[in-house]
Amino acid sequence: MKAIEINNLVKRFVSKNEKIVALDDISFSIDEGKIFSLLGPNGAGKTTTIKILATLLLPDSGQAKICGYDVVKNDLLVRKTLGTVLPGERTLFWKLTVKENLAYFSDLYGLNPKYSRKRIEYLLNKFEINDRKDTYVEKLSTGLRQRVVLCRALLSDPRVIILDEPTLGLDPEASRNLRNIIKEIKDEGKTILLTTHYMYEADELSDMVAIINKGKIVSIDTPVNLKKNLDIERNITITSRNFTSNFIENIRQEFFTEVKKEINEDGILKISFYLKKKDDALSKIIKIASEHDIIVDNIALSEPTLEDVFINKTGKKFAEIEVSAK
Amino acid sequence: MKKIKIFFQASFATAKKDIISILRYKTWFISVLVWPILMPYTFVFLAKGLAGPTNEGIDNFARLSGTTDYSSFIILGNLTWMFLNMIMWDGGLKLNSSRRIGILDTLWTAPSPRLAYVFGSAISSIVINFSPIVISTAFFSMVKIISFKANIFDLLIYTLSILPFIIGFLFIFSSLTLRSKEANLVVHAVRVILSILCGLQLPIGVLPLFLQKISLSIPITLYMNCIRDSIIKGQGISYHINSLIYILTIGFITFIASIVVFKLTEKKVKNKGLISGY
Ligand SMILES: Nc1ncnc2c1ncn2[C@@H]1O[C@H](COP(=O)(O)OP(=O)(O)OP(=O)(O)O)[C@@H](O)[C@H]1O
Ligand SMILES: [Mg+2]
Repeated sequence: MKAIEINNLVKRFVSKNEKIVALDDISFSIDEGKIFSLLGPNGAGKTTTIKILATLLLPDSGQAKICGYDVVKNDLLVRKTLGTVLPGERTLFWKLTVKENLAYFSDLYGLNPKYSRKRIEYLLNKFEINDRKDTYVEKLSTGLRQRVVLCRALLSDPRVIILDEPTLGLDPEASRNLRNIIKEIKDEGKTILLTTHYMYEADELSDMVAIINKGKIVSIDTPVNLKKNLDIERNITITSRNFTSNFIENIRQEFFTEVKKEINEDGILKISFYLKKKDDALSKIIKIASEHDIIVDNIALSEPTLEDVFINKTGKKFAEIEVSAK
Repeated sequence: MKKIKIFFQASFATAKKDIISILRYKTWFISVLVWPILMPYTFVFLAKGLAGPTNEGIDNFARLSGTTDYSSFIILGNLTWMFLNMIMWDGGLKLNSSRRIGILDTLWTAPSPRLAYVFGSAISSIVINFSPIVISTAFFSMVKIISFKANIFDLLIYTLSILPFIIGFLFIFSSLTLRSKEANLVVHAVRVILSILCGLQLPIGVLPLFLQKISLSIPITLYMNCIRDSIIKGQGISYHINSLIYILTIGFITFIASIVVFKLTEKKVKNKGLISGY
């Protein structure tokens, strides 16, 4: 059985007399124990998908199932099977302590008090916040608060976790910590669906990525395949001490491209150019180099990032790229 | 069965959480203890003023209200009204503010029935506001402003009987706050209308005849009469058995209807995505 299965989901909204198609017939499924990311620009329909799965929104048509339970017909069972983290600062009660919050939510999940006491202690220890259990949530840093939010989502030991932009607003260190926690949760065998704005986050965490744009899924694959199958130009740089103009001319003709030359302090010449297709380019270059007796010090081929894939598929550039957090 | 168990577990947990939060604010005893004692005084003094130096106003009051004991009449009206008001509105206003803050959708991701949060608020309102009412009634009896002649057991029966109506009212109001952002406006308007219609601060005898008829069809009015007659006149429950049956019947109907209204509203909210304030 699939952990999450979505078939032809459609959701429209009417806002200020304007019709919005938030989800335009999307389908995908997630295998148990995998991390799946929904990657998309603002307004793509990520949160709408999450909310339908969390039974906060009804779809106009189509179907969604969590571990076989239909989100419309079996909504209580769906909510029992799920741990949900929604975006925003206020998904805990700020005027209650960490422990009080977790105890309250345990009751909302119908957990028995003895079990929930143990579970809370286990989670607080696991996420290293046990020493803050009597602190008011309002006094916690955003990073620690987000860890408590994850504890809350795990209270009932759900099989599936959905996270809507879990690292939004965290500083680089806190968000790295949180990503590690997400990996640990996966290691416990849980299925995770997350949405994110951050390419490298999707790249680092996910087994599968779906790129969603304007309510449609434009691409869905493993991060490696998404990048591999991307048909874009790659930059190639060759370094050598004895380039000849014949060699450079030969390269220009072979690859139909402009070749940029540069000399660095050591007098080493570096050339770079764009490749349309990767295929056997490297072996061709080496062959040409040996024909011209060129001693190649280094060849570097730039691999596309998930961001390149994203721009290629959606025509949009991400504004929020947290470079320093890498 | 399981659904009922989780409903009550979630309701009591919500009530407990609300009570903890209220007691954490150091000013709670002002609204909960000082206020019920000070507020009624203002009305007593006002009434004293209106009665005139030779108390000629009292006869008129007695003709309208059926008692010359205007202090008891007014104080009981006010205390009861404060008590009912808390239960009628608090849960709905909390629902609205939790939506505004952005925690409501997270609450709704838990597998408890969503009405449990509102019901839990009603429980906390009852718990928080019941003892102050008792304390201030005791206080006014001690200082001989109220002449307390009631059987306490009767008062409890009346109060339990009005709860289905009041909680049903709360469920309907909560549904409304989910649909519209003007919750506060509704509270103010309805509160004033009810306080006049139900004879809470003035005898309904001052109202035009047709309004008196409407007034007597509202369970709150009948409840108010039962409470006053028991405390002021010492009338037993047998005097009011018809009122009691009426209060319970209307209460039951309102309660069931309110659950249906809430369920329908929940569906509407899920359809339009109203929960996160769109
Ligand atoms: N309840 C609603 N009423 C009206 N329009 C809505 C509602 N919820 C979402 N929308 C609209 O539907 C579209 C998809 O929104 P959604 O929140 O799913 O996007 P998102 O991918 O989560 O974007 P973001 O990255 O900004 O969080 C947007 O145009 C949004 O304005
Ligand atoms: Mg979103």
